[in-house]
Amino acid sequence: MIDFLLTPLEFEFMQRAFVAVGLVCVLCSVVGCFVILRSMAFLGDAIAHSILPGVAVAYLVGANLTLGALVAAGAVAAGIAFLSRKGALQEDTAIGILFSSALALGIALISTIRSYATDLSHILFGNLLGVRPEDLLGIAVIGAGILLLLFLAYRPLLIVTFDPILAATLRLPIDLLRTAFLIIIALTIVVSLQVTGVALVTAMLVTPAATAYLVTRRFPEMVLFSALFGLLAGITGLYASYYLNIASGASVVLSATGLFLLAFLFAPRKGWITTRIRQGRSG
Amino acid sequence: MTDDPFVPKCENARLEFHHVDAGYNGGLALADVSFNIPQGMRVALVGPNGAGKSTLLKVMTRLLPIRRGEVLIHGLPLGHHVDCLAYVPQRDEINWRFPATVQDVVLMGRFGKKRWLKKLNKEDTDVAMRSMDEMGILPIRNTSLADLSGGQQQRVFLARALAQEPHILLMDEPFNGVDQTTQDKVIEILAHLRSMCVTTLVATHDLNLAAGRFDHILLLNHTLIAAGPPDQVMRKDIIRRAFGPSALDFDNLVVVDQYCPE
Repeated sequence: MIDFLLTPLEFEFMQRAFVAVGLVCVLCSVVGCFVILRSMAFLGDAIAHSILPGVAVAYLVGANLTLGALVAAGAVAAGIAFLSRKGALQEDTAIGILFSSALALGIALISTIRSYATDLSHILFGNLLGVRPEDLLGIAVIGAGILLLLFLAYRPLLIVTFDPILAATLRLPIDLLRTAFLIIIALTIVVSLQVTGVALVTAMLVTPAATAYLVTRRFPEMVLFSALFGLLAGITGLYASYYLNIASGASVVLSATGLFLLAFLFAPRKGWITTRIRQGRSG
Repeated sequence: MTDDPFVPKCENARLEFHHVDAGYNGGLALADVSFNIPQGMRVALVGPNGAGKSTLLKVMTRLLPIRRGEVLIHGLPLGHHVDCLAYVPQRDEINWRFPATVQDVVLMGRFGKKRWLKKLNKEDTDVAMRSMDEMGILPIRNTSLADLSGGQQQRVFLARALAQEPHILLMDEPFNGVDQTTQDKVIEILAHLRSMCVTTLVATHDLNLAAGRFDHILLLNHTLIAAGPPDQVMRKDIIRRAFGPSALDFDNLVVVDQYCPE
């Protein structure tokens, strides 16, 4: 058993992969708690896909990929706000249009690169085993920054998420908080790029938080459990990826889905089977 | 609140509307509304559906900007006060999926008095406990928000508003779809707030409650139709002017046939 757990750690690239997956999964899971309670899962998905053309352009001109991703994320967030302003279009329609266009543009740009298939699959699905030490540093620094920001703005974000009218009567800077939160989502997605890729990052933003939501009753507990579930999914997923020889990003996401299904069926208060059993007993 | 050093002096006209216009997109929901409310009054905001009752409350919470005119609280324009206004929302305005207990929600009422990172102290928890006790929800303080009945939910948000220790309390249709206990609690608390000199502004479609339980009536139909004590405002000619054809006249009795809000 010990050997089973230790064997993958003999490789340096696997050690880095474990650290990276741990950091990214915890980060995504914490940010994800706010995302699902504000019903912003679709928006997160859109930002993730909109990053593709940014990364492609940066790759083509040899610029910093992270910078390209951030610029693209900012442009799409602003575009959604513009298209859905004052009743022009429903926000989800605006998101739908921009998100698929950005994806198409990204693929169009990447298809001009000769090593098209490999590069595209790395951007779409991550390249966890290719994490370099400097990538790890980047993930750690940006991740710590995001968590600090969330910690500082915890109370106002909580109020805006729960009750926007209370936020207004308390004179909280509502628009600033929304923008700041969009930037937090964009940064989270950008640092998760290498671990889960563009296509799967939404899963890590949504699934562990949804799992935690099913088993907790208070928001601070939800954040804590979400981080734990994310970490657990990341580590089991990476082991599964090593031993079953499957793509690491997909493996991590499937582990998270497995945890979610367990909670969905067996959560003490809200589980599908648990409530059936309770009804059976009382009826 | 009993041994609180904060005992406000009742003064005149501490809430003033001066020729206020407000609305959504193109149309005006409120036109040229002016009134003065002395501090500490229980004010009922009545009028037909779509008369602008909720709009008026939204203007006060600054969710809706004023097109023209001004609103003064204690002589200062809106936006100069951080926490002197509390709003009890209608139930569809709240994110009920949010994981929180009754006590978590009531404690949010204390956040306005704190810096973003400052911890809540014993005074804050004491005020929250007292507010929950007054609303009769102390025994269920550890219950999840999602597991409450409609009336209990209403009382939670009223307790939170009390915990804010406001000078002006706004309520939008607090008597809608709640049980008798909650309705009695709301009326009891209105009387208590009056003794504390807190102004309460309650939008309601219940003309009986408005006439019997409030000191002052604002009768609204886009513009202010009448304002004053119940016996001056709740006269059938005035009611008919506000409600138009939906007011049915039976000799001395006016029945307003307008089934239900929303």
